[in-house]
Amino acid sequence: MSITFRADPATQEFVDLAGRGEFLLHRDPSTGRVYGPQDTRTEHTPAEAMLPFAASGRATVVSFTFVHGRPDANGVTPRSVVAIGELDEGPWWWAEVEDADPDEVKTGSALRIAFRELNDGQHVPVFTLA
Amino acid sequence: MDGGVTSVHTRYHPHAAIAGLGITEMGKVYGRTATQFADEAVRLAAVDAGLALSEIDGLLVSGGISDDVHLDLQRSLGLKDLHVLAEMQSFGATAGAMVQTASLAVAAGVVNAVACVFADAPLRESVSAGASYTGGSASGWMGLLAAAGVLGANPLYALAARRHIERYGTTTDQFGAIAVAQRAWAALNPLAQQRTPMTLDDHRSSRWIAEPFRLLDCCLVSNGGIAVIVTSPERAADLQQPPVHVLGWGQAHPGHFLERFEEFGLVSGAVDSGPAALAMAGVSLSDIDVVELYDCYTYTVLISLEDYGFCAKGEGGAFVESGALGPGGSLKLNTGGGQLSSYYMWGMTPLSEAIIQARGQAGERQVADHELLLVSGNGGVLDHHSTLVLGTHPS
Repeated sequence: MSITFRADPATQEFVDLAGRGEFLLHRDPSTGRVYGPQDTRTEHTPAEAMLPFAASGRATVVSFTFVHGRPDANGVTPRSVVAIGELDEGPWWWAEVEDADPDEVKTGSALRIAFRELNDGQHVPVFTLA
Repeated sequence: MDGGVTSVHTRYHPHAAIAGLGITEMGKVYGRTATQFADEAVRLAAVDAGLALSEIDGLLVSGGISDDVHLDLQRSLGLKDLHVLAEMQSFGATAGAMVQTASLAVAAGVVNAVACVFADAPLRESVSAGASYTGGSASGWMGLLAAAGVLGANPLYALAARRHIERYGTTTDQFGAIAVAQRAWAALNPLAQQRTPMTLDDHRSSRWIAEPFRLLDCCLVSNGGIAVIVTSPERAADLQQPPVHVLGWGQAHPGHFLERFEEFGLVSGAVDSGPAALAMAGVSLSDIDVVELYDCYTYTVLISLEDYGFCAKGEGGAFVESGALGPGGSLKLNTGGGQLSSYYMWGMTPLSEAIIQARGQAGERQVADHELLLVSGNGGVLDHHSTLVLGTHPS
């Protein structure tokens, strides 16, 4: 299944920073609470007053699934691991856990954020097992 | 979530009825656009009601994944001088939301008869059903997730179901019990796409899609269209079908999509919209005879059963494997086979079966007691929920 991703005004900054190996988060200075990349403003604070910063890259599995493809010509079924990761800073994120042995993935497993390069040179965040 | 019941729900009494139902050919029907299906569905609904097409003065349209039903359906149908015309999109909650909107407009006297139509045509010859719901180009945050390996609804719902499993000890066999029960209903439904009897072993041996979901935990993908016509109870009484009265409704849109939500996978909007709809109808859950729940996955049924209160939170698994479901069970649930076995027309699947049951037109699968019916809609990943309470009597 191929997907062609095109960054748009909502995602461009996040994708640009991902290309530099950074996962963008936002802190609301009025509450100290940390928000995910898609939450550029809060009920308390306009976008220009939010404090952007890069996530540490550490996360923990909240939930996981093993996605099965259709068997190939040799009868081998491709399988990928997808997880919700709770970033150490608080927000959740959703991505594939690359190069993971499914037997090693459990709720609570430690993750690291990595960056997948797409065919066109854009980068998007994924997880790896820590 | 807070309870969804407000004083409005106990004070307001709907005054509307469903008088027409149009269902096109469903499933692997190729060579037609969603607009063409929608056009046919509305015409069929008008014929079903015994209503001239020209009497329709309201049109609410909804397209599915192919997003190909728009305001120009008016022109296709040759409808003039409409007083209500809109596209609606609440994903799987849309059918319930359309009936609610149409009912309000009818009750307000601004429109006489509103056709609510959903149509979709994602299936193409030689393209898998899964591919029809994923792939292509994407932007926005969901596109970014797809590029990161989170493709389509299957993994997202699987992530939700996993949380239920880990919190409450729910099992995949319990999911299977839902699929088996609904297939038993589908065997009695000539409209159903999958009528071959299913055993729990069949479920266990079906291929994994996204663990904990196997193929038989996932709904069908269908091409087709369904329309319903909402009018006043008085006008409905003059038409040729038994009126199906709209007695109560509720919606719930919790607003946690793509953000941290501690209860993700453990609770749905049914917690809010169910009590609201029942309160508006002035009935209790125990009064409901027939239940038609949105069932994009077996798990969706299970969590909805809990959140409506048919069983306690966390006991959905035990409830569904107790023998309560299926044609011989105590709870008459998804009596047409649902989206899992019958046809997948988003929220129109449970709604259409409820109308057929309410009218007493379900043939072999007809439920003897069918005066009060509950219909759910569910969209996003448990992000949007609608509830309708329908009945054979005006109050």
